Amino acid sequence: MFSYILRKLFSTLASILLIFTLAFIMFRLLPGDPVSLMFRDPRLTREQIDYLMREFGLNKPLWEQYFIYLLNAFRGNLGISFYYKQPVNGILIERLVNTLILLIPSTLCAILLGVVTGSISAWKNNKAIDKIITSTSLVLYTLPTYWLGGLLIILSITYLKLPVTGMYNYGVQYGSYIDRLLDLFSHMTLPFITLTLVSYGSFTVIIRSALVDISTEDFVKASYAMGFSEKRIFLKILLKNVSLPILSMSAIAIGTSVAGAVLTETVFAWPGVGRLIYDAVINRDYPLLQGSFLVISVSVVLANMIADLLYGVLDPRVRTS
Amino acid sequence: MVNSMGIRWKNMGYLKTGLITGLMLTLLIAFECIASLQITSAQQVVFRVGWGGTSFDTFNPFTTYTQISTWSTLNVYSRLIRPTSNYTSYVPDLAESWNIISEDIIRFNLVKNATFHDGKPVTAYDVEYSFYLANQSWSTRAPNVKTVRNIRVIDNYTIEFSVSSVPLFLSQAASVIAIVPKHIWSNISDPSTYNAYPPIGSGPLRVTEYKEGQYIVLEPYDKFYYSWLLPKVDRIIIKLYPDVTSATNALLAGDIDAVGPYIPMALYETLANNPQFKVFKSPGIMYFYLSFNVDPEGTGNPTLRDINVRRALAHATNVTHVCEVAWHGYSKPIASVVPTSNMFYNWNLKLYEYNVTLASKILDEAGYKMGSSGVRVSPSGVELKYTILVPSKFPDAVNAAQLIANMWRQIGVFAEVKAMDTGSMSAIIWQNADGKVRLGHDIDLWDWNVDPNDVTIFDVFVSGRKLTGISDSGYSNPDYDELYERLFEAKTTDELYSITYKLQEILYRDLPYLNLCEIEPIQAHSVRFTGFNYDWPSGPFGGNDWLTFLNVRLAETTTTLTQTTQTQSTAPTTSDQTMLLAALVAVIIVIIVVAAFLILPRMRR
Repeated sequence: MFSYILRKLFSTLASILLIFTLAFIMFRLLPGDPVSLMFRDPRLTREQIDYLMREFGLNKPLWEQYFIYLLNAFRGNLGISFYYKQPVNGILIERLVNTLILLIPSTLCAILLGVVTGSISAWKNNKAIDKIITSTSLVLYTLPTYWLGGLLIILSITYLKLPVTGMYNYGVQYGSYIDRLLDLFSHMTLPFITLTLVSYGSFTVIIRSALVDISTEDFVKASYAMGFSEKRIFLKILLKNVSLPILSMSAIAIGTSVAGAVLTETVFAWPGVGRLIYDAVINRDYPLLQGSFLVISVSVVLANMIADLLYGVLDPRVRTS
Repeated sequence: MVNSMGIRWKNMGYLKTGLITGLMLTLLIAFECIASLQITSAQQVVFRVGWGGTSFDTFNPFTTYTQISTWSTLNVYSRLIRPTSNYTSYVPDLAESWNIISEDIIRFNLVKNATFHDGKPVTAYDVEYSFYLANQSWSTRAPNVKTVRNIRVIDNYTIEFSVSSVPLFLSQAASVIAIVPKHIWSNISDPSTYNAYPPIGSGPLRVTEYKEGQYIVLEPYDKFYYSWLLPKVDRIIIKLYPDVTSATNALLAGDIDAVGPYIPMALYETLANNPQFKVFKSPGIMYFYLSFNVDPEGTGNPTLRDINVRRALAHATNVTHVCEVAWHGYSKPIASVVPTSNMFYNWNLKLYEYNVTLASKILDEAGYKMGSSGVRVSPSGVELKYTILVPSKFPDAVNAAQLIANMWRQIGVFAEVKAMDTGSMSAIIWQNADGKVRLGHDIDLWDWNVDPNDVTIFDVFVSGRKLTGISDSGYSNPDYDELYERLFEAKTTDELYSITYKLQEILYRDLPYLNLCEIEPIQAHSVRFTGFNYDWPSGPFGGNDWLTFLNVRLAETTTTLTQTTQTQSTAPTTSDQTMLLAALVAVIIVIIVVAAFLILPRMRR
């Protein structure tokens, strides 16, 4: 087991190093120069451009920029945002917290709902309820986030009267911390529903498919023949066997959902990492883009590593292979 | 017992799971529903304005490039003087009076009771230091103080400027440069990277809260030297949105009270038909143009360097029609490189006459014959085939480019429209090779925002500006350059007008740009608030009106109500019922899910 953990840690570190390099190269391949793009202003003089290039370190050779970036990144310093002129770390951490506040409950809710409806669907394979659940899930899975978010906004403006943008009623003086929390929840409602619905469909379909596949296996049939109860077969045999795909899917979903939240955060003006990335791409803010990319990629890699380690715990065959 | 009850007991496990899940979901949904009913806020008059689009960058008035940053701090930092809404005259601010001593010396007398937000007095030394900072090479305000030759502090409340042009100094510097506290800024090791948060100014508003990318809270500064100018509301909140659609949705939902810099056309009808909102059109500061690549070293289609081709294209473009169709009537054609709201707009210039016959005749006479493929060919054999680059973020501009391309077909000119992000556009237009910048495109359709008193737009056409990524035409004309330099020596307002008019005439004649449409922004606000000047260039929420936050007040009909309740939006009674209904529906859904858990095992058996 120890060597298995070491192997996984080593491959994770290698992936992270590769990501650091990719983050540097990828955004510099984008067309356009950040200085002229950020500040398309007739007031911009040659002196100012030179100054900004020096300030941003863009006047140095690319290899030098890379080593400075790598050195700083390993020290935990992701640089200064070109646009905001503030340390990227500070901006990212605050936005990441906002994103996680929205993402963790919605992803967990989507997983939970997916397991429930996926199980029902598999149980009633090819029956009316299965068809309803499967088609609903597929529709939700393919719904464009912009469309769903827009629909919820219209519903809210017309009927629900829930806040449609932001995270709080900014500038309000709250009576207590509970008031603030309640305000947060009311603002979370629409993006929460949107994120849950768009990711719920995929969970349902995959869990259903995995359960249907396993239920035709000989050992499941044998369990029925041996007179095991439905509950035991479902919990101890079927669910345990689909726990591996559920685990890997959940790990990937949590890791990638930070990036996936870009659209939802844009529609609902949620001040998270997603919106930050959107702005950074528009402004060619390399340090901010690199930092955001690193955070997302490293979270995916770490989530996968955790999933791999848990795989080893759940299925000993993985450890020895 | 075993048969009937056994199944029931067996299913109790599912029941428990179902019940727990149901309970969790019910609690979550009910909590969310109750949340929307419980929001409370202090009983203050709060005006909330949403801004969609460009993000706030910095509080540093010498390094900001964004309109929203400037607007947010317009009343945080004092200026020496302030412009009136037509920008042709000025009213006192930090300078209670000023005297033009000679044609190049102007003296300002400062108010004596002015203090910064930290309580320290404002003196002439702070003014001097602010202008010193503005003149640094890293400062975005350096072009504004180009007219300043010398500054002399006479005493704590008197300061004298020696300038090359008094009228230009008043419009570009005295009414623009933010006055910052020397006692703070002189201790900053590198003012160019200083974010200036919290910003300390001496204006009627002070920043009390700021969240990067989210909002800025402004409150009155009670010790402001002109107490009658203090805002009529308790707080002003500027909320930042990624785009104007989100900001407008927020207005519709009651999250904010006004929206800028404009509302999207798709939501115009919704707002206009709602009596809770006032929707209006204001003079624009943004305009779209076609830029022809006339760079002698450029790698675009060389036929565009021929003035005859550009003239023919100008006559073949029905600008009025383009403005009406592409921008749905919310734009108007302009003949110059500045919008009509700019104080220097040359009203003598008229649109190029739309005349396809004349356009064809110009090309015929210049030797551009119709080719076999229906496209004209130059005497040297180059086809009049062009690519028009246009930013994809402006769908209306893309439509405009397409309309223009169709018009040009009538005279045997083929144009292909390519919409792309501005980064890709820049990479195509300004190409660096062998240490030189060459313009690599044919034509681009882009926009400029020109402030009502701004002359820096004329700088775009000065030779060599392609090197800074500013000139997208590569225009170069020594006569123009010389005249432009004289602008900064203009001794009188008449002379200033005369020079700017001539500069526009040269550009009109040489056609590096074919000016298209000036966009008249449509903005909206809740009728609960009033006190706005809709005629201010770019509108009251467009980022230029320095009086918006000082004059905004509750409309009389809502005053009483507001004092007894609150100005923050709370859900009306009907929504409370909707919430309860939603909670009920949620409970029903949970019951169905729980029932499914119970029934399924039975059915399986």
